Amino acid sequence: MRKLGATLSLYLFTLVFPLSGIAELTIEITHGVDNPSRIAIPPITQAGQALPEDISKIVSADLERSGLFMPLPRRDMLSFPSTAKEVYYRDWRILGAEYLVVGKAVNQSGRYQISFSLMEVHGERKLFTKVVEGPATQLRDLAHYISDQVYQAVTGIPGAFSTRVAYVTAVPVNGKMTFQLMVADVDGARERLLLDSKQPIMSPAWSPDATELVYVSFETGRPAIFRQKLATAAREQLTNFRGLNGAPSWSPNGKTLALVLSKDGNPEIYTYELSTRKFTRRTTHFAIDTEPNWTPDGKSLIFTSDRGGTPQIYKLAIATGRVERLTFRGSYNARPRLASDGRTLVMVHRDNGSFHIASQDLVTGDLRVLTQTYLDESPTVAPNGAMLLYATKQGNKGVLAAVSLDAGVKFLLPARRGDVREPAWSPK
Amino acid sequence: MRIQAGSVFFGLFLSISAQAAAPVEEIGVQPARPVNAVPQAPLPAALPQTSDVHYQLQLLQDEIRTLRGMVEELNYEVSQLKARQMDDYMDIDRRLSAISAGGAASPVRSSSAKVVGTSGDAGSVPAAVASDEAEHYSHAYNQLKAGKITESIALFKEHNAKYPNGKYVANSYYWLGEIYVLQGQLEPARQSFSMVVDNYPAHRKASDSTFKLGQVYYLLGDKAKAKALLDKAAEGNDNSARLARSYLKENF
Repeated sequence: MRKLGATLSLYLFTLVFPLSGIAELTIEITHGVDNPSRIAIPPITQAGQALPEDISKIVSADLERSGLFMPLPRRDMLSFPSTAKEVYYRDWRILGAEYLVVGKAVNQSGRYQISFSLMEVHGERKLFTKVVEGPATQLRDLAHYISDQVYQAVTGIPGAFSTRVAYVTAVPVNGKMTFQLMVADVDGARERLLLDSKQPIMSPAWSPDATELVYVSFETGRPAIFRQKLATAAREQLTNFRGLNGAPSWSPNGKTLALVLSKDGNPEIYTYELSTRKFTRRTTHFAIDTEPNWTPDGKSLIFTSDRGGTPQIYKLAIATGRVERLTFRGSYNARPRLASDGRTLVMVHRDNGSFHIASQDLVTGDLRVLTQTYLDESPTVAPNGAMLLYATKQGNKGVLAAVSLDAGVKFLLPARRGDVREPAWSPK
Repeated sequence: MRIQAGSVFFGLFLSISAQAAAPVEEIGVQPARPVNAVPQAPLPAALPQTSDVHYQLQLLQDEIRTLRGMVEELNYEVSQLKARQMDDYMDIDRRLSAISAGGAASPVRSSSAKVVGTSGDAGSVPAAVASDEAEHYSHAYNQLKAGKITESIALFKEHNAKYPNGKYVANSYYWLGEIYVLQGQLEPARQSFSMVVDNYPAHRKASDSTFKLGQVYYLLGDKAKAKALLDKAAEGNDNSARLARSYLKENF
């Protein structure tokens, strides 16, 4: 067990987005893999001049956060090459680097063009050279793109560094709780406020194209489901039924929502066609059916139900209405989410009286408890299926934490102030 | 989200307790009602009854949920047991056939002592025997190529018994080993490959057999022996060495 204990304070974005002073996220890696790849990323500059964002620092932080890489500190580097030709492999071998990323930027009428190469130090060979370009406002996106490319070339898994996270913060203001719906880059940077309310906000969920969110807000005095566009912040109220209106989940084709309504007296799963605004009741049971989520093929819903006496996870085939129980270990399994492989189920699992995040392989049935923190809730899986985020408690504060699906890498994203809860990892 | 789920469950609990409490309240209130309220008389009589039915319904629903949970769990256990029984059956079947094959193989093994003891004589095989031997071996090998597995096993075994000092014994054992691996009969496969590795270290098939024997030990669960053999097989530069290296990489 190797403790990195690194705290990456993301000071840059506070200059750009003054909002983020409220509950900005920092990252504490608590557990990494035993043998991370050592990678060196010398500064990426524009003919020796620093860029508005420190690209190589962002890439280093991205890769370090994956737990699979250990970036070399910049101060140890003997040279700062920017092209493959300028690389003296011996310099990097001495430092123990296994991989090296070099790059340089060119400014073409306001747009930055960054060409970057990944080198394998021991084999002394170049693995690829790629070019990416964008305006100065998107330098962070360009950096995350570089991280994705490097991660995929080394691990074989697509990177998820260009994704975002939606979450809810609860901060006491003058003794009264204020709830905020936020969206940030997955590294915690560029935090943006979407909704500010004196009433609770719950269950944010992404549209499959990652341009919109649906969520539950109590601002009308009772729970109601809203959809909101990220780009324009334009929003629309979708439900206003008596009782529970909750747990919306967007179908993979973007046309339908699954949600929970108790308008007929008991929480049941419904689907809602966004184009026709038609609700269809999908479950009919006097037990509680809640927390629906789509399988990646869009043909089934997985949901939590206590129809068997204890909360367990079930799968409903939409075409036939057939319901099948998926979980059998433990007396509490809830809040299901499927990884994009459609095979790895993650959920909240009660184990010896404490709530942990567990994963279950739906083919072999193997159940694995991934977390050791307490009162864990709301797991959400990265689109590449390598990691999941969840909400937990640190002291009596609600914080976000992440764990890799093999439980090898763990880190915390504590907020400076207030509680953070209900993370939702964007699908792209 | 669990908070929400919790509040839903809690909500249900509240509604149950409210309904459960209702008849008690009604009964308690009844004597305090004005005596002259005659038109209302049927109402208090009916109310405890409907809420009683409601209460009974709740009890039944709880009972059904519990029973449903038990049925689901039993169903699951039955399917697990079925799968396990099938595995056990396959396992026992494999072991039994390994024992019967092993019974046939052990005399061969005891004859191997003779092979070692008389290997010095190998060169002095009469010419006529040698050609018979070659013909017998190629017949067995052709049966194998034709996919007649049972026949080829019998013929290879016959070959080994008939020509214990012959030129093709190592090849014969090697092919027996291959066949047994394909059939999942690991113990006879182990014996066959061991014959080649132990008695014909200089034979062309020795390096292949070392790699295969390593694989068989791995499949049998003896990782230490497997590793030693695979390491040995990986030393060379031939095809089996390459295979051994990649097998080591994958499994160790």
